[in-house]
Amino acid sequence: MDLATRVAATLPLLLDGLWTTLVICAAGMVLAVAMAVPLVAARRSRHRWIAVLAIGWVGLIRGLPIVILVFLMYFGLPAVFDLGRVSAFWVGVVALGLNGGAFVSEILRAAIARVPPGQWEAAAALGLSRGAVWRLVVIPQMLPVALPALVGEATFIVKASPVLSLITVVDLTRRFQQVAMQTFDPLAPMLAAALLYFIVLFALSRLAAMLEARLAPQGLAA
Amino acid sequence: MNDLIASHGTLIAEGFLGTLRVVAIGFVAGAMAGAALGAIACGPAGWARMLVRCYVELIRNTPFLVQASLLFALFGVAGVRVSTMALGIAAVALYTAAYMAEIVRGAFRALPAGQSDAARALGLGRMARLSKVILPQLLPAVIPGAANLVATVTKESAFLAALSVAELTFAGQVAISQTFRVFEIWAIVGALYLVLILALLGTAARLERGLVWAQAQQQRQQQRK
Repeated sequence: MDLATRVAATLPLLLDGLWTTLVICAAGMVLAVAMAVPLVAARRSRHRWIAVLAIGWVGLIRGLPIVILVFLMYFGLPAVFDLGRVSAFWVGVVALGLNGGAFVSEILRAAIARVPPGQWEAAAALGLSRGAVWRLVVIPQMLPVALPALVGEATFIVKASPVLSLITVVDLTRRFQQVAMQTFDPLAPMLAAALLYFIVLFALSRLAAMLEARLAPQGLAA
Repeated sequence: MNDLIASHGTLIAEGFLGTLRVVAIGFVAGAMAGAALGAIACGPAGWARMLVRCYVELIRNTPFLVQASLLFALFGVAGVRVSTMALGIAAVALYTAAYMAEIVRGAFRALPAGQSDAARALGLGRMARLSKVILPQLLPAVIPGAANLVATVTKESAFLAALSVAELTFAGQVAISQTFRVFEIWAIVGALYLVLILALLGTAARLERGLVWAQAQQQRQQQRK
């Protein structure tokens, strides 16, 4: 069989791995956004030490390879706290979420900074409450700026996700390695997996580019 | 901790040097290739532009571990015996080249079109246009992006441990297999990465600030005229 036929033949064997990758990345992205909101709030806190803590956390995450973060969480922490075996799947989700959360918080912070100061002052002059300022004025203006970058961040999470194959999660990367072992064919399963990753990532980056083109002009108005 | 450093400090230090080697050689080679690809991507040849575009999209839309695995497997299947270190460096270079090409292309597109036209109107030749007008404006825009890219590449290089490249993460795995001191070793390895990467990111941020400052300065001078 030639290579193209072999690649096509292995594709169906990889679909469950692809599904695991997608589920973990989606859960990681949700967790990342959930982590980012308190981080942004902490950076804006009036108490300096809270802001410093948040800055330190973001710096820590930005400076640590995801591989090391995952190894620390999956092998290191259970050894220290005597937790026994922890779920590799959930460690994976939490690690991708922690990692993504730091970057998403930077995205949201930059988007908030793009809202002109006059908007805040006008909202205050209108007597809007703090909650209403965010809900009616700031969030509608920051979302168009943040959304393309958030989709971009999702591509980073997908690209980081093969790290889970290193801690026994059967994601797309580990699945193609298994299939390669079973079929004694090192290339075809790998090329098939690369193709699947490409399809997912290319679709996401197109989406990010499209959102950026469509949303940017309104975001810059005022 | 002290006994660990006494017994396995050298191993970890060698791993750290391995990471420096992979990143330094891989990045420099990749950045040069990427600059060339970026120049082609801004050039006139349509088919060459298309090829570069394909390469850039392929690299940017697949995970680094998959790219590196593919490179290792290709050499394995072809029966060419190369050290894992050399292959690791090549994987980093291939990755860097695509992202670098994109940085160069972005910087080029950000240049006002009038710059090139004005240079041509002044009667400057192709080389003079490039060396006197385009490059001096391109470099300050490329350098902060490149500094950020080094930090990213350093983080990605940890994946090479899965392919037995003798770098820092791999050294950590070896040390753990001998001592079972899991947390301490990953903490030490993590701290080493942290120092290296934060230093790189700090440099990138300083370069960016310097650039913004220089641009503001330029604008102020123009306004005064």
